[in-house]
Amino acid sequence: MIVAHRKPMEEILRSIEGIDKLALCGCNSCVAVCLSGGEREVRILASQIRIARQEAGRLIEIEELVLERSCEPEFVEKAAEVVQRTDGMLNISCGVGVGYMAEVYAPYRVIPGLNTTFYGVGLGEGVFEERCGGCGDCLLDRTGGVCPIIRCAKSILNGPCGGSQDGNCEISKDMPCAWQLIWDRLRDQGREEDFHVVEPVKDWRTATAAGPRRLAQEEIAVDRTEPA
Amino acid sequence: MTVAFACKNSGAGTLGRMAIEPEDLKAIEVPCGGRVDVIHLLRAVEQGAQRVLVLTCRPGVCRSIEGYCHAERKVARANALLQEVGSSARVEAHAIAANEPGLLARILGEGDRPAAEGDTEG
Repeated sequence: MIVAHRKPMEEILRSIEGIDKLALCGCNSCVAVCLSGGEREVRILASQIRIARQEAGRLIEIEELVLERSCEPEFVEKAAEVVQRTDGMLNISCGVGVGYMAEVYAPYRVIPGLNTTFYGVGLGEGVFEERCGGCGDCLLDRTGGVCPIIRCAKSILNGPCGGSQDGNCEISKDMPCAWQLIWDRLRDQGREEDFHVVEPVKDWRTATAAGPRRLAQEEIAVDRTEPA
Repeated sequence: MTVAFACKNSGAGTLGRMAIEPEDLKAIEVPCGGRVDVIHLLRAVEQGAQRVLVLTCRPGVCRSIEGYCHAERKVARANALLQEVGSSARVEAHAIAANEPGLLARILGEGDRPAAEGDTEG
């Protein structure tokens, strides 16, 4: 899932300073699962903002809404009426949702309430950790399922480096060395020889180095951004 | 105004035993103190409460086993959220038995008033 966390309250309050009729929009997908932007967080943040404005002596009217997904047209269009009635939107979806809503409802102002952080897994209640860098050319088959791009602090593709000590990374004793994890996994799979295969220089054009990426599943693709 | 979310197995019973009901107290009975969520605490402050109490069973005798622990964590979170926005309101969790109106009176700052009969704390 996409993991995000709330921006500092000071920044949020500053970003909505001139707005007295605000829409506060959450998303019931990834950010709800990571407890940052679902229905509960919308209610809590709206309440906090109202209290802050009461304290400041400038009341604010907030319309709360939660979309099933903030990244697809059929869900985003459900916000149209709220957009009409308000002066701006604080959006606690991920950056994709914020950007897409700003695009759909331009020039209406959509303000991010979260910092979108990583693609991760839930390790327990309320604990999430990064696992994938979204590089566009997955190499997990060669590393036993451990992503060196994200889990190695240096993102090196032929590790470990000299900073790997007692199975941990030199930057923190609490952080396992990704290349130690890769070695352990390949050994457990009986693939020790694969560890010694040199990974070639990575082509980062599949990541963000070649501009925004686009996917069209040809058999069903209908691009709504193109003229009919 | 003080708002008290009172567990039906403890705090609500205590409130019922108070000799004098404080004028500025709004009591809300809940199935368990642990059921009170952060949003309930914030909404109470939004509606004018300067003090919000969560009255739960004492640890070890909670019918929901860990109601007090859950309430404490939510109260801590609510206080942090209120502090963030500069609110002077405060939220508190108190473990209390149903037969302790004297303790409740002290919590409410009503300690100088007489407690009702059967008060084990008074």
